[in-house]
Amino acid sequence: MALETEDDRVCRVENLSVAIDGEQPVPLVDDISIEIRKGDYFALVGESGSGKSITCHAMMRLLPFRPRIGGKVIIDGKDVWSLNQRELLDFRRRSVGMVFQDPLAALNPVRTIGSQMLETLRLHHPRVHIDDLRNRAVKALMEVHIPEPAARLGVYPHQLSGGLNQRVMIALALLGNPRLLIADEPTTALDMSVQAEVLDLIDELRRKNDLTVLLVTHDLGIVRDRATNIAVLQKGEMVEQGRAAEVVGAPRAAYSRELFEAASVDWPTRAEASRRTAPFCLTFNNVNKTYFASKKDRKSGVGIPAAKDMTFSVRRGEIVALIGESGSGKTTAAKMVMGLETPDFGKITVFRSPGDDRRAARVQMVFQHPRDSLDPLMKVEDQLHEVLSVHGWRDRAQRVAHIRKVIADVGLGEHVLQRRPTYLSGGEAQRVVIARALLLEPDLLIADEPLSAVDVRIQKVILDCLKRLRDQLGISILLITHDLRVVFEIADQVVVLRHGRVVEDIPVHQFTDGQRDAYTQMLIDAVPGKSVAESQAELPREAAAAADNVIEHGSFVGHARI
Amino acid sequence: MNTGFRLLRALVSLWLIVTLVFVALRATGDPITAIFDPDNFTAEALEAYRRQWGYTGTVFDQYVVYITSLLRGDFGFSSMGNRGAAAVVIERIPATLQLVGCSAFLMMAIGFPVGAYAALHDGGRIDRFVMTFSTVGFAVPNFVMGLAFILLFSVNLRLLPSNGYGTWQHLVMPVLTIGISQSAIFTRFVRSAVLDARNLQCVTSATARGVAPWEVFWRHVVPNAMLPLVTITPLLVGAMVAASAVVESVFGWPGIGRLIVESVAQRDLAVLQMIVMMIAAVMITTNLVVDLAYAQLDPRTSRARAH
Repeated sequence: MALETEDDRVCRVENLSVAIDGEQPVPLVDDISIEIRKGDYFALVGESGSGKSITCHAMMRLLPFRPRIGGKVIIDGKDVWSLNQRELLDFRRRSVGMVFQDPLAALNPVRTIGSQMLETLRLHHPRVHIDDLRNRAVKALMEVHIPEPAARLGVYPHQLSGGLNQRVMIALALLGNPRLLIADEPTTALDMSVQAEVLDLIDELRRKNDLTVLLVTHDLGIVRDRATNIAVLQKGEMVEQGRAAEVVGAPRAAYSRELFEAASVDWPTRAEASRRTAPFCLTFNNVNKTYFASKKDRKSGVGIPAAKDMTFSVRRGEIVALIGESGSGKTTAAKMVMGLETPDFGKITVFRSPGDDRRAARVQMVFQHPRDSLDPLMKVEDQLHEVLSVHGWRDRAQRVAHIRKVIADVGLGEHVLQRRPTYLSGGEAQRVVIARALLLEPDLLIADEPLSAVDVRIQKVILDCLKRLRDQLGISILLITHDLRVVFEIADQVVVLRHGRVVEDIPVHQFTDGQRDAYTQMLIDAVPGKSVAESQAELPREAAAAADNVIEHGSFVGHARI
Repeated sequence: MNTGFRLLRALVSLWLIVTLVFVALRATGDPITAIFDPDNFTAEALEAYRRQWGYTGTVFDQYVVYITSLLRGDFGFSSMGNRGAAAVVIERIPATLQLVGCSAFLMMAIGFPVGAYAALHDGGRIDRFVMTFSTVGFAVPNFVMGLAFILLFSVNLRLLPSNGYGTWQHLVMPVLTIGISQSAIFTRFVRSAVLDARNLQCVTSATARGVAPWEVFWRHVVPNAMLPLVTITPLLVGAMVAASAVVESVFGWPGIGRLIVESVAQRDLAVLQMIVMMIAAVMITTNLVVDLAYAQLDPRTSRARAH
């Protein structure tokens, strides 16, 4: 009996600590202990910098620096850090498969999918004929539901979509029939609906192949209804570990409580007074824009439509969410408002508020990556002064007073003014960017994915900040996002785009009434982290079935768990 | 961009360079009075030379004559060789090819292994040594290195001839001079290219699949590291031709480089124009070849998508 329980444990991490070796070691993670049993779906959760990636790379001995290791990692009965080179190769080939965050980066860009699969297969079957290996490769691609698998072997990674590439990655990782699959943020770089497909695929493979999975993620939403065990990391230390149901149901550590709260989906039940009666701030009237890859394409009219008869409006003091997957035309719409792109035809109007005769820009933009949109070498204060100076604010005292007011508007203290962007947290940096946009007192703020580069807890802070701007300053916000959770939280009106067309333009509280377009319904289904009960209550089965019919070949949606 | 367009562009660049050189050389004064002291020659004699070498009429007339004769394959008359400029230049080509070819080989023979080794052991003692040494290598001017070699091998050790052309002993020092100075730069390029490629995620993922280290190096690191190296090749070819002008003078090597120096000193415009044109043609061809090779090496640059 004792033997059996021994065998049961696929992976044991005992008091693992990792530090960058040197005269003064830099500690990264400390005293991590986890135990993964056969068939478990183990989720390692934490924000960026919490040490979750370091932990799983340490389990594979893949650290990019010379480490100082304390404790033990025992996987598949092998003490990983005491293996010699030959044993280590064998361990990596047979015991563990690994999937990475960005599938495009994890596949060699200058080699075909097939050559990389055959290379890996050759490791496992050194004496098998090449045709046989090719058959095995095709079969492996079929296992992960890649359409036309034989044709994909000769294709380069950049020619496939992110979702397909991640499937290829998973197929590659499973070629050696490993006992443990480590997935390091496997869906973070993917679109929302593709995320669900990839997670479903991992679920399916786990059941079919009796696989044990270690999923590393920052997103609690995607693990809470899939994982069997959850461990939460914070700043390199384990703060909580247990069965998924227990951790989700009653998180003990304050930090995990906070994480769960931030990740929870508030299905829109708000019945706020509609702002649809306020005057217009921005209107799109049958706006069209098509991109052409080459002159030849332009001549023959074969282009990529980024906007097709796009019509919608933003009213004063309203937050309009523009949602859709990558390539749906969200960013093009924003660029056209800013004048960075001109529509082929159609009309975009930005309305002046009454009594406003300023010539200054009335539309300002907030970008996705706060650190990239701030000058890293300039003090925050100087960057804010610069904006005002170029718009003709001559009086320094006046500028200082205005800057103080705006900084307070976004909920920051004046201490940030003296800092350089490197010394700001992600949330502070994004709020400085928002403050910079507010300096010129715009009527309309365009925020392009303002939350996707920051951690869950900080998202909350920024959402509150945007809400306050709308409620107290009456600023209209065009919020571009792919995250429905954000939409439910703060938007008044939702515009869904697909291939440049407006599929849906409705108040947010009607969004989940089950009467929506099939594509919209699919987006709603793909929201991770809504519990089974909720989805049953809110999604009539017919709607879900209708959504199924429009899914393109090769994709499948996550209804299995409903 | 299709091949025809690239070719047309290459021809236009060649024409621009030829014209620029022509204008620059005419703008620096009358070549006849620079060669012959007008006080010692009669006006008729000078005029006779002018006619013989094609320097009559206005600059524009000369340009028209020059271009039409170029199109006929006539590269003009060398004043110092007293025969066709083409003959003067062509007889120097083998010597330079030998020198540049051997130097390029030496550069790569040093650069690839040393650079790759330094990158694979980055931060180690050998890496730091290589980096320091390569800084010194490209900071030392070619003629200083050449003279140092002469002092060491010819004057002190009496092993190698200091000057001339013909045997392999003559070849050693000029090749060492150019090869070592170029490899100092090339090693750095190789090192940073390999370092960048080694940090790619696809290398980590191949390692995670249990691909053996040397296979990871040859199949994943090298193909990715080649891309930036191919791009800098034309630059290095240019640098070598420039280096050969100095090095050939130091070692009395009868190649194109020394011919440039001589023809500038003698104001032999026809020869100079021909050399510049030839170097430009070589550079343009190299660029063209590299462009085409890059498209082959990096599938991402070709636009077609599979689906």
